[in-house]
Amino acid sequence: MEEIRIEEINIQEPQVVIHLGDVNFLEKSVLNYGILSPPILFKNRGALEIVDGWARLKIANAHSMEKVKCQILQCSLKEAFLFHLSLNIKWRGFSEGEKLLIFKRFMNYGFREEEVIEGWEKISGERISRDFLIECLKLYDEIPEVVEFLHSGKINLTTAKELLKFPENWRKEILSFLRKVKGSTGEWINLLRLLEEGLYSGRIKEIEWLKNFSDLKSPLKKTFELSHPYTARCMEEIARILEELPPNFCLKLPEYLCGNNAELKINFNILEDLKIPENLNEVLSKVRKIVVEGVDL
Amino acid sequence: MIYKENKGSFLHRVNYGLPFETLAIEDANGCPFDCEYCFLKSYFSESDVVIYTNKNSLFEELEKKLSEGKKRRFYLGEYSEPLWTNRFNNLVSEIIEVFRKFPEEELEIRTKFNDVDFLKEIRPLKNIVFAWSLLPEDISKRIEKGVPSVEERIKAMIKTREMGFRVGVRLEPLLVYKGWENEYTNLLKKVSFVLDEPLEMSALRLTPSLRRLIYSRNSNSEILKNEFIVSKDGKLRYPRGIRFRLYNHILSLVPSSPVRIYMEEEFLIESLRKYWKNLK
Repeated sequence: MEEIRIEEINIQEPQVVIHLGDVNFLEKSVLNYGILSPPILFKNRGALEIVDGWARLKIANAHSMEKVKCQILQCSLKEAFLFHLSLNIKWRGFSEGEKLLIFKRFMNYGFREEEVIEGWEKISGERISRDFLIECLKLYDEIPEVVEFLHSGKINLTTAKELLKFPENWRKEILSFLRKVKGSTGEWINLLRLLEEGLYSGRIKEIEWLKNFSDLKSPLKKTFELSHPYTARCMEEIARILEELPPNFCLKLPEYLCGNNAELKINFNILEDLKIPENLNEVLSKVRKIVVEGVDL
Repeated sequence: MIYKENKGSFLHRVNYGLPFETLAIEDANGCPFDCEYCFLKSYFSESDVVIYTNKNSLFEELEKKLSEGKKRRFYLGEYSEPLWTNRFNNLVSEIIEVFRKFPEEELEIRTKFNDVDFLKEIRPLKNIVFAWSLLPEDISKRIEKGVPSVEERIKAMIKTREMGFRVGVRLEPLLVYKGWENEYTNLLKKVSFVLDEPLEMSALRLTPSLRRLIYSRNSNSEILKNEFIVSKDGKLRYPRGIRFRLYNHILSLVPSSPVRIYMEEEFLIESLRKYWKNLK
């Protein structure tokens, strides 16, 4: 253990530390009791780099503490990085945004793809595929802003990867909408796939209008109608046919006749005393006809 | 063009959804033509046409499969343009001779090319069908670049038929675009002379990655102007109602010819069968 002057340590842009977001959560503890657990450092090309304890050192530095007792490891940059990950995954884990940074950092330090996969499995217990790794790196390179969204939990990796399907000029608008509106993964994927369809077919020319929405339901409906006008007409026709049933008889159809809900599935609850309408079969065969044969072009 | 050895298998199972087993022969891969909808662009890493040099291994594997006697249909032309590559590897002539020994097994040579003169030297066989993929002339000119015109293909069909070979029409892919109904009507009139042979067709299917590729090459592509849904196999297809109307129109043009629809949802085919008895 050595007592080190804080100014000698690279706190501003530490090389191996992966930590997004707030670091002040330890402030009270450091101010009241000092640094209880000594930071771990290593020497990289003469400079003192942090392996563990960045938050503590940052607070100490902000409060003008001069010296801190640290442990100094003799290790390479690559080893220090692996050690940093092993220590931090145990006590706080990493967000999906940080995970992207980790994969990128692995590659920057000269790890080969197989080494990244094996290294990450040893550290986290999670086995990732090569395709997953490549997609994460692509996401980091092509849409760097996404790291922050992933870290904050606004979107998850599944949704983020959908963004890669859009040409670059659409991504910014979509991301600014994602930032504003909350939705489940399923809803996001549904919206993004509908948008993708509309944009590629040219039925959606620009997506500025997304800015006007503060919830997800209305833009989902609008995007569906714009991107799938024919299917939307089929849905309208089906809704009209269903009106032939008594109003108290509840019959549910999949929300959209696109995506994987392609088969006609009709759900209704069999309740006691439920009176089956006499025209049910007739209505169902009309619905089936629309589902299979569609409406006029 | 690249010549190399195929270290893998030459035969691949393909699911056409037809009532018999179907296998594709990979003697080469890649195509010299540039059809906007072609899956080969997103399927093979090489942009050049690759012709496999180890033909003997191909014949060995093929004969072994044919000896099983399962009355399968084999395809030549799934991964390449067989009549075009034949100029370089003479494979069509040789493969026909292999099939001569197995009259119960069928070979479909699917093509868009028009060089059929070499067939004069070959004795026709009943278990081989030369199938031309056709689109209406107007859209073909716009999206099938480098491909012989539909007129030239039809001339090649006539020649091949006159030489005594079976000749078929494949409407692959069936496309919806402005004026498609009239254009398909005209096309089917022109090929009525071969409609005793089953006409086979399938509406356009795209993988999401192929759609992205088409868009990146031509963001105004006519093919993409349509509405698509994601089907169970992950491919993008026209909405079911549009497909129904597309098939229905073609079936109405050839009410007395045998027709097959492949790579399609079975219940859609079932619904069409209620209207069309010629749909096999």
